[in-house]
Amino acid sequence: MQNDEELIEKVAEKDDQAFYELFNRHEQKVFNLVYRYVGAYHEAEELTQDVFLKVFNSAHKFRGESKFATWLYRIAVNTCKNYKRKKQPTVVSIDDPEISTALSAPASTEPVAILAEKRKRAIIQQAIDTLAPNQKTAFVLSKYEGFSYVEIAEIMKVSISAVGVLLFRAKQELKKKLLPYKQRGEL
Amino acid sequence: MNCRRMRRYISRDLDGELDGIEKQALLDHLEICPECKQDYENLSSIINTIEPPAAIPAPPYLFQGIRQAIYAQKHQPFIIGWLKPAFVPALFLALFLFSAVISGPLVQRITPKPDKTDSADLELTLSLTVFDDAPAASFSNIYNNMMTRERR
Repeated sequence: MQNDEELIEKVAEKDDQAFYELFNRHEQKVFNLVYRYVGAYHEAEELTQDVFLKVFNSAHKFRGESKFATWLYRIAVNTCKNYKRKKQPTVVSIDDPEISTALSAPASTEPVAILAEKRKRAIIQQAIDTLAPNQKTAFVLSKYEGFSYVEIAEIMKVSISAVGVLLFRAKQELKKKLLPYKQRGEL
Repeated sequence: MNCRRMRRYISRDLDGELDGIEKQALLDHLEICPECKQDYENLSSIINTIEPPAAIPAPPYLFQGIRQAIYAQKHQPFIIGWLKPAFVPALFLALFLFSAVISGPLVQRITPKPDKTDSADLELTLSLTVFDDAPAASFSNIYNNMMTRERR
């Protein structure tokens, strides 16, 4: 079985089979990374297509200085960041009337526990969405994708100590935003 | 070990990035610093609350969309593919040339024509024979002499 680096060399020669093989291997991870970054299913679908299209068109630029997966995730992260930069996200208020109405309305068919869980996720997601772009990227790669500092540094093309600083600041911001909810028992 | 450094250690510890020596230094500090200990507890409770969203399956037709996009790229008309990268510079060049071409006649049209009266005509116009009899050192005599020299 060929490794990713061998396959991408073939993709550079426009080998469709090699491209399909690479796509199969990484499709789920890339899609979920994008989905966790942008938070919307259809946008994640479009952006994932963009990512793999860029891989196909830029395969000749892969020089083997890093692992293929690192290069791929770098493309995915940059695609997400560009998308977010162009499109201001619609920030749903944490005290969204729809959510609080659903929680209090006796006619709601959704169990209260599920609604409370949704509200909790909305609170956390909003806090993460308001992080500075590089902090959010580092946090998502670390917390959601489980990458190490070394891997994050390769993906983001920054130093390992810079990754440490980004994650430190991200956590401080999240603590500032989320601690009040935690203390009120809403998280 | 100061608290500022320890707060960084706390962050790295939550990411599993401390080595053995650093971890021990952190634990020793937390035993003697209640503020850092509280900070550690607050931060870890927040971060541990944050769970990644459950992995969801990618749409089954994802590759079809990519294949269509690649096909569309391959089969776009050659001229468009050739022109695309040159389009913006060509547009700027065209605008520049257009502005250069129209600016010439436009400037000519709005610039007032200089008076074509030459000095000889001017001299005749301004010649004042009334000064012919003026004293030698007078301004009018000097003027007449000046005009005479020019005529020569």
